[in-house]
Amino acid sequence: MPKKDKNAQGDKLQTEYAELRDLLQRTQADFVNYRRRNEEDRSNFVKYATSDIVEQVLPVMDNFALAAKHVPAEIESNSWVIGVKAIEKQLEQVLLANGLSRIETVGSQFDPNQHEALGEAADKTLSDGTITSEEAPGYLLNGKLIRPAKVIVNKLK
Amino acid sequence: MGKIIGIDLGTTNSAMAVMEGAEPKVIANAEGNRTTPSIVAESKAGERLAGQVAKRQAVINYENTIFSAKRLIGRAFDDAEVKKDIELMPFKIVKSGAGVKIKMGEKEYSPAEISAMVLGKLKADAEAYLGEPVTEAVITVPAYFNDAQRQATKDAGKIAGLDVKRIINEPTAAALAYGLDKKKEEKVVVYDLGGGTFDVSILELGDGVFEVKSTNGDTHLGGDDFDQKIIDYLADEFKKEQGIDLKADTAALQRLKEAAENAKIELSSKSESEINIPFITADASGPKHLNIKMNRAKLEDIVGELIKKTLKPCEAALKDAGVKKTDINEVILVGGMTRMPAVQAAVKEFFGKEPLKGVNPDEVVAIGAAIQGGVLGGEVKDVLLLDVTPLSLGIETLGGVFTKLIEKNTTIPTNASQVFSTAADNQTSVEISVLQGEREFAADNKSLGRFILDGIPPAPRGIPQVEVKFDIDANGIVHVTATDKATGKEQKITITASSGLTDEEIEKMQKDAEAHAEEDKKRKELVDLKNMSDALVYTAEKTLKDAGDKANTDDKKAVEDKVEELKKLKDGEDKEAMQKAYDELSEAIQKVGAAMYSQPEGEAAAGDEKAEDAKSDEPVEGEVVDEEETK
Repeated sequence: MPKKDKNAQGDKLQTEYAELRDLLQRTQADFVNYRRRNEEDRSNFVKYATSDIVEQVLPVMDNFALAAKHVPAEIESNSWVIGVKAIEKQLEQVLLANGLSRIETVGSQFDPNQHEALGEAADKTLSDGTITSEEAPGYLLNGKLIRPAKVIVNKLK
Repeated sequence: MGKIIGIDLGTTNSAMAVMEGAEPKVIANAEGNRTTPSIVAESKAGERLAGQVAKRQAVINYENTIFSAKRLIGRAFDDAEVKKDIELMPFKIVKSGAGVKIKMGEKEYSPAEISAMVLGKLKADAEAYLGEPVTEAVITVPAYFNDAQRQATKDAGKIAGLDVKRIINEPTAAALAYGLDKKKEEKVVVYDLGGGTFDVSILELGDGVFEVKSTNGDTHLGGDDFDQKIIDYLADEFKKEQGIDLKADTAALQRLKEAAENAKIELSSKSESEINIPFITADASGPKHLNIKMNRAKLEDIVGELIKKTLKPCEAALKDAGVKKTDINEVILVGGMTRMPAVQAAVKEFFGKEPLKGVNPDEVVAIGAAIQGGVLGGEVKDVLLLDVTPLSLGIETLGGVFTKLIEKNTTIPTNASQVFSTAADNQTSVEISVLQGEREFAADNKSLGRFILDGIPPAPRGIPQVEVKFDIDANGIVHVTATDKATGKEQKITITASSGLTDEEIEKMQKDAEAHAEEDKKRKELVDLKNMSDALVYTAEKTLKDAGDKANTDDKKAVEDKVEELKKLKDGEDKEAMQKAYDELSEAIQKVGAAMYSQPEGEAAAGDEKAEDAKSDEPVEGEVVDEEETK
């Protein structure tokens, strides 16, 4: 075999070797990263597995709260009404015991990381950006936002 | 070198994906969502916000919250679209040279700079996910984007710190995601109904390129319009019933919006949805509840006009491309709204073709961009195209059972091993019969070859450990090795590439397995029970012998009787009787065992153990390589 051909072949192998080595390194790196993410995903899953169901239960809690707010004055001390309110409390306690916590709203400063603005108010006695009312409560589950609080925010011109 | 990410920079929402191994994977943002609103804002405090966070504060900061920047990117101030936006948008659009700038906070930004903020957020979230810097991207744009718009999009990437390796058309990305390859001559329609825009494109594939033959659409028609129609309907119904206008009440409207969206989603899979919003409002007479049942027909009636509106552009696109409906080979659906069955039906009826489904329509463009990124980055190469085993591989074990070591669809190269034992006392050789297929019994599967491992030192059944190892290399060549762990003696066989099964044969075998699954399962249960009975009889007899005088005669007698009974039954077909005898013997033997040992776990050996635990390194009772060899 002429020397030239041999060299060309050597070069070709050299390139091929470099390419394959590169591919192997990448695949290896991919795999290491994949494994790390997989572990993260798994630990997150364990931590937030409940979040889907909790999210779906939140509107039920909202409605309990609304119902409690609208109890007609004449039956407010009725023991049946008091019992129903106790059920609301019970539901809340179950969720709180599972890592749910309520986001603070009225009186605190609006923060889009936790609050969603539905509208604005103009109250001169309050500072700009203060939350004036809560339209729907927001929640964190084990410290992670699962639903922002829906609020009205003070806005001074 | 890092990875090239694929970005679908949308008008309302954006998404991103990356090649992971040989598969595209959508990257969720820091908040955990798979799409990110294409919205940026500057808060009163001068803080820059992007994505969901910007959206949440839009209501109280509308003049500094910028959305739909894509409508403005690369456009001249005199464009009709810009004129329209100046009227529609709550933020300020100003002239800058021939182009436009958008006012946010105290400063003016070009649309490219605004888009760069969205891209920056995506970049940062991708880096957090990948755990490495991201510097390169493929970004998609609508097929109708001109050079200026494409250049401006590229600039946006650059500002965000991304080297944009390529700008590709959204419909092309969608076609890539569906694996349509440009080698085949094909005409493809991409129907893209997004949050705020509708686009239809006719693509021609072939000669190594994707050519966009024509595009059409409606830049102000999308999912938001559909939602609004549903909200209007619900609010009207409520007003008719209760005389209260819900749209005037912010909180009520918000709940209505959510309910409308839920109903829309629910009606994509169900025929009826109950929209139930208790205590939605109140008047002097007390609280009011909204409860409206909506069926799919009603929804389709409400939004029918909007769906119809998408068909005219389809007609025009076909005409411009000079293509007849009958020439179309594939129809691809893009955008969340195409999940609606009525939309799918309308598209199907119009083009006379079942649209392609399977890839999430919200993510299909980003996935296509990631695939393009993979090609550019050299990750999608022929060398790396990994194959899978089409059928399971394994060996024959006691009772003619096929024990799989490698399940079908496992990516190769791969290997697997399992430890087996002998079926009889003093068995000195085992036969390894290598099989391929999906059926439960060896006889129903294809034999690939067999060999014998001998020279196993005589020992009671279940004691020798024979490790069987399967190794498939990248070419599909199977090496099977059996090793006696005590002596290290081994035997092996090499089987070349699936022994030449054709695709048809493979398919037939897979179908066969499905067809016989039920009957095979029943037979397998019987054989398993037989094997277990066999093992229990053996253990029981051994226990009796070992117990000698330690156990009381009555207990021993009971075991002897039960052993005889099980022996009679175990070769029959009466599963229930066999199971009963098996349970009774297990119970009887435990009494004897208890008398023998103070430690209860030492009793009755492994007679009760299930034969399935193949993962452990111990030889598993009941899973015995073969039995014939011993007789």
